[in-house]
Amino acid sequence: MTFIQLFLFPGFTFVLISALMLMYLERKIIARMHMRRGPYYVGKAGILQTLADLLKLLYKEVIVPKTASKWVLLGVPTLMLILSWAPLAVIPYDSWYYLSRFNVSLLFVFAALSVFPFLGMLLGWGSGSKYSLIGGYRGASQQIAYELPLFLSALIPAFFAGSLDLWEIAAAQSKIWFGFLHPIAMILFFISMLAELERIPFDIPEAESELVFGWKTDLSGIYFGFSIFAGYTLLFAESAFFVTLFLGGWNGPFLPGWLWFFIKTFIVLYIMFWIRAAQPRYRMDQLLSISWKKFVPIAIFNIILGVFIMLYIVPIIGGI
Amino acid sequence: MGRLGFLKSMYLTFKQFFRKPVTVLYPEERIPDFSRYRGIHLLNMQKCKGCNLCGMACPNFAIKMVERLNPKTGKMSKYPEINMARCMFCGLCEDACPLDCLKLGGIYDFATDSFEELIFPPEKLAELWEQRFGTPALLESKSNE
Repeated sequence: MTFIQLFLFPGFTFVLISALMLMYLERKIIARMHMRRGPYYVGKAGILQTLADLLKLLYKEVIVPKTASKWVLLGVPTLMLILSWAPLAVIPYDSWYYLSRFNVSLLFVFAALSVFPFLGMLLGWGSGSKYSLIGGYRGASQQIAYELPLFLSALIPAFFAGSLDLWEIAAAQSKIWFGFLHPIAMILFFISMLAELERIPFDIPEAESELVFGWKTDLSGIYFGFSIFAGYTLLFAESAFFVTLFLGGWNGPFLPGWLWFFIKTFIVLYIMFWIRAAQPRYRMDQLLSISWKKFVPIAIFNIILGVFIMLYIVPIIGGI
Repeated sequence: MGRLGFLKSMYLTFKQFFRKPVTVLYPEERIPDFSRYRGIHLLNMQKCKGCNLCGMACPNFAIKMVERLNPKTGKMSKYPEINMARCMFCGLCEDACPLDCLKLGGIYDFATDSFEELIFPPEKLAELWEQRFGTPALLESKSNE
């Protein structure tokens, strides 16, 4: 059973297909929001376009610049791809379907996520190029700045549910979703998540007009594909994580649990694509001052607010 | 709008999501050409008298008069040959033509990989006239008159 899960869902096959489909959906949805058509020619309505892109990357030559460190340049994207799969292992897709469950799985997700800023910085340094280096530093400072509000916001569901196990957090939301119980924490987590994923409006590490492609500039061939795939797998993983923490996981009426889970995850992803289509990019100093001067104090205040909600509002609705 | 200005862009993009895209799938679909669009020239060789007024009007010297045998008179007479690489589609030749036998049509995609193919002989221009207006323009075609 575990082997089938590892291979099919939520393992290798699912990760590959979901990353390809997310790329396709992102391009198509943003295109429609910009009054364009998006991918069109490859397959029906361009559905195979991302697969064709992947095949193109497989055929391309891997170029290692003279100034770059070969092991860092080729090792880090591979490591990123592997690490981006880690959060998928502990996310409960339904009450009966999960790859692994243990009592500190929330911390496990954060442990996997907190490696990424350092990998990005290492890659930026190992590429031996100024664009990669600046991109790597920017990415690291941004991700470290937003990890704190992200973690402090994620503590609130754990606090409500009384457990660090993601399965129990999701199961505790059968009566009311924690997002409705504490909406400020949900919004804070969502924005921090966008910054953590380096997505627009927080894609400063790969600001195309200033740095060519941030810390990914010197990657080529399938290693570039690895870093893109890691990004999209993380996108799915963090959306699923968000749904588990704040939107009730598999809980929902009528439909089966896993379907509810995927509908919610898709809505979160859609909102992310929507924000990408609509918003301009923040400046680096704005971004960091938003995090350290606003989000961190709000996140600390949120915990106090969470205690009050636990003491005075939860008894009104009759316990969690 | 101030701090809530981002909501406006979110609303706009969401509204566009349910509309038809404005992009035209160019080689398969085309925007119908406007009647006054100045594309490739069309020539009615049966009407043309070879006066070279178009050639004199041309600011880029794109028009050169070449000789063809006119079967009606049995003599050689002159017709314009247009170099599309030099032409800037200003339409002065069309204005200069006293017999209205040189017109600018709606064709705009004529890119080729050789320079020679961009020099359009009068027969090719006359064929385009026939395709566009459906009236005989080549010397060999049967005249309506």
